[in-house]
Amino acid sequence: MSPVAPLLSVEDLVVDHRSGAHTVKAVAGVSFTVGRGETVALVGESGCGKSTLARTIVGLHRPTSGRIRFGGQDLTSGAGGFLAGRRDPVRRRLQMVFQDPLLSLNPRATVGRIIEEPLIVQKQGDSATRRQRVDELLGAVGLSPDMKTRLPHEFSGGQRQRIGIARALALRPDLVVCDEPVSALDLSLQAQILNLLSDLQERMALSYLFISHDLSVVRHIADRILVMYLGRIVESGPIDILGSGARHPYTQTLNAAVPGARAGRRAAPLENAATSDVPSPIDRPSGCFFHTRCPHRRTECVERTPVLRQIAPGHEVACHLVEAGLELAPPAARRTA
Amino acid sequence: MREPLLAVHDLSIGTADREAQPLVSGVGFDLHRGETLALVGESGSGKSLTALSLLRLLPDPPVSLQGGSIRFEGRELTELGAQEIRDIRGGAISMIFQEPLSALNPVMTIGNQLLETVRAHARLSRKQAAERVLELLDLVRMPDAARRLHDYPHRLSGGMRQRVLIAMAMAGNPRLLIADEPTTALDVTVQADILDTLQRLQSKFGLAILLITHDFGLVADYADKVTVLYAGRQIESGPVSEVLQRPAHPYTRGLLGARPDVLPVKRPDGTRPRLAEIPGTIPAIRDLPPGCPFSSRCVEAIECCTRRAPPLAAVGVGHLSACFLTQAAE
Repeated sequence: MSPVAPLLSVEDLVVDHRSGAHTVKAVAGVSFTVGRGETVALVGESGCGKSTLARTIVGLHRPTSGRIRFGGQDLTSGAGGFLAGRRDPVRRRLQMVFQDPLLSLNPRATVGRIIEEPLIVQKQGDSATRRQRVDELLGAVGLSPDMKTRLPHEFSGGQRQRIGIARALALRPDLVVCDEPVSALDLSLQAQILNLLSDLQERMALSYLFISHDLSVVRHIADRILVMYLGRIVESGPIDILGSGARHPYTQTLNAAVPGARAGRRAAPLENAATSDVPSPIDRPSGCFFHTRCPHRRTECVERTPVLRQIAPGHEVACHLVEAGLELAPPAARRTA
Repeated sequence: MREPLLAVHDLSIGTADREAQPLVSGVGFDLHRGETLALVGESGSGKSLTALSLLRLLPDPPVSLQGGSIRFEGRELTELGAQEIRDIRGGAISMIFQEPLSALNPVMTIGNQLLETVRAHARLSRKQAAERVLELLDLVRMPDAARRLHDYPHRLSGGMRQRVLIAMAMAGNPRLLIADEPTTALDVTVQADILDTLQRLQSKFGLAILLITHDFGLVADYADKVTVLYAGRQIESGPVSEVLQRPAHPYTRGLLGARPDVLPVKRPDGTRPRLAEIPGTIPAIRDLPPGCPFSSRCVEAIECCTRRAPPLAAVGVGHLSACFLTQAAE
């Protein structure tokens, strides 16, 4: 690990959602770091807590416990509470791009106003310099500056996502949290936006925390992967864990389920793989959360919760069996034709 | 060659405005028993309209079938009366949709919805109907089926809801199942499970499946034949292995090249390869360029592409492409 302090460090973060009598542990003790210029991807299925985690980092949810440090500053303590003020200077360096660009853009504001708003809130520059910055930003995301007088509905989905990106970049952030930024887009637009994010990262030395359920997108964009399941990280490591390098049975199951990764037409189904749905986060299994779907389950998996252990430099797995040194065959290899 | 189960020819769908360009034009395909045909395209490509038109489910008005023929088991569906087509819906041809929650009645238990469906298709006693419901749920491998009967749809996970809908779709012993983005709203592990279920039903009953999707990964794994639509026009079709390995039309090639998983993750020097982009966005039907519908975004377009629309022509065995350039190259 590099001796330089990471840009973002999350330590044992817990986020509970209360809903009536239920408490949902959306994030159940998660720790990780994001270095400068790095892209860390968080993958997992719906309900695994990846969006809650992202939203907590940018201050949209309050953590129940744990710490979030950003650029050396502790965001979870302090007099004003957790990122209380909307003018908190930290917000300038920590921005977010949302999944659905139509829902995250004010339908009655012009695009120019939408992109200028963060600058106004943070009292950056005078009106003339702000306008100039808006033009610059539109250019940077591949839109024409004369589009700034239009409203969001006048744009296509891909263009709207460009507007969302321009707004996130307005304050020259260090870290941009991207929550499923391309999942609402068609394939041809998805490629345009992914290329744009790569270009911007290079040009502006950005770090990304990239949240997605699409493993092929993640493999393309990320430097490092965190795999989440029901609020916990079950495996973290280099991109090859989304492939032959996967050690946790859940990561292996995810990989085998990716369409196109299978042997082709008439390939036998994923026998013995996780064939039931993800359990509800309200009613989570005991021990290892994955044991109800795990083809390798043993009694200890039901009884004790495995913790993340390093199995190679930069590669951690939370699985009793991996810890015991067993080689677990991924589901793809167990298929019989 | 035996007659296909379904033969669609020169389908045209449009709005009441006869001046406007049709939303779908010149689409045609064959589907045999036990076969899966994937209809692929991005949003607005007309793939759902095409599927809906087969069962006369278009939102008419304003959208209606304006031409073409749909032959199914020797009958011309476009000429059937309202009652006859109603008998076919959910019977010989059934359909499942993208969002299972909106296809289920929220204030009725799963069991009662299934009973209703079963009894709509056959005259059965209460007891026989209840047995048939359990048989159907078993067929789609619904976990804990007997207990689930008393649940309302909101209590089920997305995967289980889609299983209920597949069970309903199987109630009328269909020969053709139209699956419109059946797994787009589901997680990837559940998706594999649902599609495996469909594949199992297919081999058990010789079911023909029309799979509507935007995902070439699913096409590769589950389809035999593929038809690619762009702006309501059929631009390429053929056997899956042929089209995916030797895509002929620049749009198909562009789409396949835009998939992040076709690239190596990193180059030896540590930099990342760029994804191939298709410039611009899909034009609205009213803004379609003259000639080839893809010409406004095609990097290879030549002068004649904007003058007239290229016809579909063979570029391989059973492989058709609507592009002047690929045709010239053959």
